[in-house]
Amino acid sequence: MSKKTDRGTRNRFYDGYELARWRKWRGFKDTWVDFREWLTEKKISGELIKADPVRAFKALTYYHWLAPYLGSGSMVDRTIDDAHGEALYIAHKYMQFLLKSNVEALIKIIRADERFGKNEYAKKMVIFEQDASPILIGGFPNLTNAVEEPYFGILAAANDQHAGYYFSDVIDSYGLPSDSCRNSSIVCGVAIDDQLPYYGACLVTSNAPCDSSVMNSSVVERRLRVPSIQGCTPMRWRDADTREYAVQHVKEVIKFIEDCTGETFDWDAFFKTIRQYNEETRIQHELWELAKSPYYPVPSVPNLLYRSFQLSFSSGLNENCAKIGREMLAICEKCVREKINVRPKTRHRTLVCGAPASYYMHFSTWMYECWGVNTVVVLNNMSHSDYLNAEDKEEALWGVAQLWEQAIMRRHLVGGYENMLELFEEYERFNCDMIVFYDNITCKGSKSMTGMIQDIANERNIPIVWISHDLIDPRSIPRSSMRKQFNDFMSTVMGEEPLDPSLLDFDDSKGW
Amino acid sequence: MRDLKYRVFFENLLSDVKNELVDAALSDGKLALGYSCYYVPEVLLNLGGCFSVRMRAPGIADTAIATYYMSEKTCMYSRSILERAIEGGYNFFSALLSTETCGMMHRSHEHFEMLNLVKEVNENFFVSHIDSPFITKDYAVKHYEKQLKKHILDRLNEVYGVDVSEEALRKAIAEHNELCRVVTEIGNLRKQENPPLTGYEFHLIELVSECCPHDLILPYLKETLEELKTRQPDEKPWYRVRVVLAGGENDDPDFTKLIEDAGAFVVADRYCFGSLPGREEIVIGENETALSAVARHYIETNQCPRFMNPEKVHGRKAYLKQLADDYRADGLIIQQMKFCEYWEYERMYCQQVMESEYGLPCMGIEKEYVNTSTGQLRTRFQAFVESLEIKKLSGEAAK
Repeated sequence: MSKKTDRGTRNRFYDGYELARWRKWRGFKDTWVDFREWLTEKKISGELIKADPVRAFKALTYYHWLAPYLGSGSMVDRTIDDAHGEALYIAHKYMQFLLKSNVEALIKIIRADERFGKNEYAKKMVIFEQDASPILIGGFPNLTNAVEEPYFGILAAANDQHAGYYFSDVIDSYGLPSDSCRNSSIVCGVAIDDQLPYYGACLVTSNAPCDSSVMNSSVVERRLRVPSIQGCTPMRWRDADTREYAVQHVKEVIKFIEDCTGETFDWDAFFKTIRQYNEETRIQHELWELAKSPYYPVPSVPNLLYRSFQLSFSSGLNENCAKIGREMLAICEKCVREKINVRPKTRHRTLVCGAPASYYMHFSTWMYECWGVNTVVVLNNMSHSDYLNAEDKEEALWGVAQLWEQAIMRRHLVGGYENMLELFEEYERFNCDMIVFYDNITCKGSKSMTGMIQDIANERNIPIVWISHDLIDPRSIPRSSMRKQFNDFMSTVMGEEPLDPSLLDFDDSKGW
Repeated sequence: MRDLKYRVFFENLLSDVKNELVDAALSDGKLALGYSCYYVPEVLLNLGGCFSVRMRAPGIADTAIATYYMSEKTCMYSRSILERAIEGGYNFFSALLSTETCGMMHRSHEHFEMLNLVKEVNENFFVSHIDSPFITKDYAVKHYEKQLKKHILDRLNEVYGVDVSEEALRKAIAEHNELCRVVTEIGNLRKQENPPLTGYEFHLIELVSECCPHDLILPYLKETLEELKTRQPDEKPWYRVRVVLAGGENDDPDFTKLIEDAGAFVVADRYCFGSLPGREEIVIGENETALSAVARHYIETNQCPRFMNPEKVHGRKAYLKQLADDYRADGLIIQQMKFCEYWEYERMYCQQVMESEYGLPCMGIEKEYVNTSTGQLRTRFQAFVESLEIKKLSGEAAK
């Protein structure tokens, strides 16, 4: 545990909490930028109440999972703590975009929720389970999509580390062993606790990313009481002979949505969405090119969240996604072109694999601040990255199927071990010198590859550190334990000293 | 009851994967084809010149090396298979036919490729993975059929020259059906009020039928059937209650014995490695190829919780109730291998709905592949038996 007399970043926080005595001093210009953007973020968070105060009040008093979003400003602070100069601006802009988009999505759900009265929105919404890209909604201009699962667990815990385990306990007491993936089980906990909003014309479930998410679908389907279809894309997605089945299934989903809503699929509108998706993808490819440079300025957490949003929420449906992407790309190009180093503490360039702990989303921020370990690439971001065909109908549907097949996490967890081992190719491609593996203790797909990954890393002399965590429940593996695992690795295996000893060990167990 | 003539023989066959019947088939030049999951149709692995071996790891004591590769937080069955493979226990295999149904079992099979297992002693050895559907619609069955052809039949034909013609498939189906008829006839004896066999004995019979070459085990099964027809049960039924045993992987007859020692007769075996489903005859419809019939049969009969469509989700519970009615069971025991994602959800849900919606008392068990804590399990089984007895008594009193 660091002493109070230690001078360092941690000194400005109250013990046990994420509550700071004062905002971080980053120099005059950066502190001003940070304060200005912080005010903007507060304003965005306030929209959650302002848009429809009565319904928002009812929702906040009914749904356990909703309140953490009021603390999203603190979450932003945590994730950008390591950013300076251009990186600070980029991080704020990414996070503001994400905040705004998420607040809009929550407002949409609250407005449509029939628990709080009938309304015209409810039957115009198609619910997609997480990991099933909602891109097909682009072909239904009169409908809107809702991706709600991440709000119950992953994103709620990112806002408040204590937010997730209430539902974890609900489903545990219902009889589900706690070794099941928390991400899926928490959604079941929400369903069992009758905390699912009532809205929507229909539901498209998903078999992504893993076995437990296959199983949680039937629990959610039973509780939602809207017609549903199972989005079941092939597992062996590299096998070319799975294409016909996959495309046929996408057609079934379209027909199902048409039947449930009375709308007709509009191919022109759909192709327009695909073009928008391709633009988002192009921007991402260019960012990856820049990420090979030591002057790449984007901090990892905003980048991870933005890319996840792009794949799982936007997929061409949110026009602002590409807009903000272009703006950030221009700043990144400038940094690389003019060799502006906004990550000067970098001692190691690391690739991060596996799902990060939602309750410690800012772990890589800490790694950079404490040890100078700069996360330059996140394997989960390397999910589907191909361009979709925007002219041929069959090819376009095949693209949608691939988008579902190669969703976040699923891209590397299923379809053959080769997909997981791609991490070593990405390691080389991005000039890394270290791998951090987020070892989600409930993720069977990655856990059953641990020995092989360690063997290959040993053969190639690649330092790899496994950081165990419990995804959404900090009670079994708290943040301090995650830090200890990393500290031990850095001091014993790497033989290094921390950049900021005040961050080595501290108590943040009661913080958001 | 007198012991079955072949009980000890069957137990010995199950004490090793490479048992004396497997050795006999291998010395005849037949190809041993390994598989683990119901999604890989057993019948396709019993084409001319081949025989199927459902993979078990009897007597496994320690999974240290497999645990290094797959971590301790994964299904012990999957780790045991890998450990046994590393020990060389499957070196007699000519191929491993796998399917990406459950993630951990699939990863276990992938380690055969990653660690170059078996191939060191048999350079023609291959592992082939099929993509199995999550739904039962026609196009999903068609997809499954294509996968079976590409990843099982074509590979066997290319690598070993196995005859995979329509005639060969029909012959394999006919032989498979004959075995199924015998096992089903034996299994149906469990429906009797005072049956001439125990659940443990049937578990042995079903397992040897899955783990031994069909042509070599069939004579023993036929003889056992004849023996059972004349076997005199004890005057009074030995059991206190009758239960359906459902759930995931279970290739341990001692687990069935443990339940029966507590007084519960296991009348139906609806678990992976069980006969329900597994021993239904395959019927080839008019204008249907043999392979189409196999694909349709294995999708229709499959009771894996991996299926997502509501017909299957609800059908699984209805099927359990149907079994309970057919076999006159008083309750349901649903067991699950620790860390099995599919069955832990299914077990949770069955525990919640089977009694409230189907009126069938249900008990859930989480177990390991090698059961060491039998004392705790026995206590739980005894308590369940008592609760069923009380229900029966109070039901009779109410009448």
